[in-house]
Amino acid sequence: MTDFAIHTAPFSVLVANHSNKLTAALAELYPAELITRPNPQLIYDFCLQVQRKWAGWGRPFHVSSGDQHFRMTDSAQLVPVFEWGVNWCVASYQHQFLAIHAAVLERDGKALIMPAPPGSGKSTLCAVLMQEGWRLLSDEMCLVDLVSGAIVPYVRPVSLKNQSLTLLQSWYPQAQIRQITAGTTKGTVGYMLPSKHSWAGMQQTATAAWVIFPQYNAAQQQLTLSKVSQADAFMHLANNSFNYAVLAEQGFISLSRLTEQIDAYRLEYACIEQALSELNKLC
Amino acid sequence: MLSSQLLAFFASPAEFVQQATPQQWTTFLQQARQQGLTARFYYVLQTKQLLDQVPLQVKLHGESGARYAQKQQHSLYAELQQLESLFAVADYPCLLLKGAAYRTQALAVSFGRLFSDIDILVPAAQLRHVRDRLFFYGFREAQMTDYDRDYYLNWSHQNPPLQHYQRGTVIDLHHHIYPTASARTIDITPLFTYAVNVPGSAFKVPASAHLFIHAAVHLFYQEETHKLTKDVIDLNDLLLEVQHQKQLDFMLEQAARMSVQSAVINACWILSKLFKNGAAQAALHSFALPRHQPLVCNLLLTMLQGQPARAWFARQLWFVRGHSLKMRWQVLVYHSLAKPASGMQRWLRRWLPGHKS
Amino acid sequence: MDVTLSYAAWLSQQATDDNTLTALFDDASSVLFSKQDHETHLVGTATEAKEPDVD
Repeated sequence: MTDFAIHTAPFSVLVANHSNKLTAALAELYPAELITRPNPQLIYDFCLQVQRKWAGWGRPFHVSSGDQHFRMTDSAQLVPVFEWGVNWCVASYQHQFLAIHAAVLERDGKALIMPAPPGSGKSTLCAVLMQEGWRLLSDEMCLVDLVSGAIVPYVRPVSLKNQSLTLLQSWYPQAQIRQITAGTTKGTVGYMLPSKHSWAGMQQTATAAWVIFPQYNAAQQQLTLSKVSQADAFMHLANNSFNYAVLAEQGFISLSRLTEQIDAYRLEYACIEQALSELNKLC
Repeated sequence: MLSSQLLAFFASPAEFVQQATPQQWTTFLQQARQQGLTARFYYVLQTKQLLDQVPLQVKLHGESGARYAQKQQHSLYAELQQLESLFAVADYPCLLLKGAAYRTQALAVSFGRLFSDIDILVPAAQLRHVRDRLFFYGFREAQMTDYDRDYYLNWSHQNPPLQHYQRGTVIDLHHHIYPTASARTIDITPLFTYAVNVPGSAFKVPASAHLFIHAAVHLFYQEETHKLTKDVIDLNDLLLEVQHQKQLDFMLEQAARMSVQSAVINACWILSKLFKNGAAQAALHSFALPRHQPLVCNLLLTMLQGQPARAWFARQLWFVRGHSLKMRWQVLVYHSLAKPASGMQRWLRRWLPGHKS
Repeated sequence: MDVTLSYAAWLSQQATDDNTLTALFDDASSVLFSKQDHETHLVGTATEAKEPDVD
């Protein structure tokens, strides 16, 4: 047993852990001060169990939260399954914030929100922007404070998949990409470490300023950046939210306020440099 | 799953809040999530004006759960509203049971409660009619084997669960509050006789006394154990409601009339032990009831509070007990043989030439 | 939603209250939210908001 706790803001996780490999792997992904032995003087937001069981047909590790089972996995895929398990806990149980499936980055206190389905190049663009000096708030989950309307960071290692991994490695050879795992349900997955100032600002909120809906399209000759009406942006954000429906009236009010603050665009691109230069002009 | 922190909290919220260590709060939050009681604890804190005395994190998770419960409250009301026109034309009583009955009346037991389905009770003779009307409203039964369908209709107390094709809502349509296969014959006519109208609605709800009786019967005649903690917390609130509505004597009299005294007295004994429930203690001193069953009650208490190994053993015993109570031994033997036989038939049918499945 | 609101009280509220919230944005586009069925609509179309799949 090597139990530990992860102290990411705004949610901490207590992990009952049976895998030494996981402990070593997470030490590569998170700053040392954020992973500690469990402290009985602290209240933890979520509890995860990573248990080794006999039943499992070659996938002996069971990731669960109490009696809610998440997934079984072999030792090789434990890191991505654990990271998804944390996401699953947060997405299922927190309604403290309006949560939108989107990458968020910040510059000069202003937040750029990029909601998009898998395959849109959202994560690639997010990783590139972070490498170019933007502060990462999250690559997966945009949290909106229901009271203040501020965008709350949830800094975690940036999950990159398949081709995106190779591209990032070639564009930024110095980038720290760790724990590359092949053969997961999402293909090959690896984690880019958040930049130092992203970790340092993990409790520093930002004000929503831009919403970009990116769409990578290899056949695109010329980049197009088209304005999206605020109402359309609202509907897309609602569709990409984990809990807009749960929050009902409060969700509507919160998302309306956010929409009032932003300019929204659709960005179709084939070339990452063009996309980057366009975003630098815009934001 | 032992939920000791939860029981301690619901038995005495103010005391728990004063004494809980951070480690206990962590366990408490986890257990509350598992039993679906996050919003429930939040409203207990709110009602008892203790919200300012708990750590901020606990309050935030409580609020978060309360938002989810509020959404469910709305979904239930909106769904019932959709069903009004269907039930408005019925010339027989249609009763909401369990969670839907508590929620529609906004009883304290429903504050922050979560729902997975809507339980409706109709007279046995009308079950088929209501089911057919629900089909017309877009509800359908899940795919199941002929054996399972027969089991639901002939041996159980309900139609197979009906799910709306679009909204996903599930209705459990009952004609009895307990499986008819049981040797115990519970007369449920009083549930209809004393049912209370819901103003502006075609639905009725059972009197609070009957809601408690139903919950007690459910607790003691089932074999499932994963939501026991929640079930006893519900019972505690329901009995307080019965007392609040001055239906305690009526409840005891009805328990006798419906021959479910043992479930009711056992429930009172448990509530008195776990929550020092005043109404339960009063009932235990009543001459109208027989003595509680020590074996059954201790088994339940062990599952809720015992050491893990003992609790595990108690759960196995409870499982066997629940099944043997639900079915007469003849029925149990029939099903033990009929289920594999029906499986074999289906398997053979697939291999026999000329059969289209 | 108020936890002490009974179904009967809710039904009568539905009959009397104004049940629509509107957000009108600077670019003159707007969205509506129905408190009765909790659906969100773009003004002028019938698109409805849905939640994404959670992994």
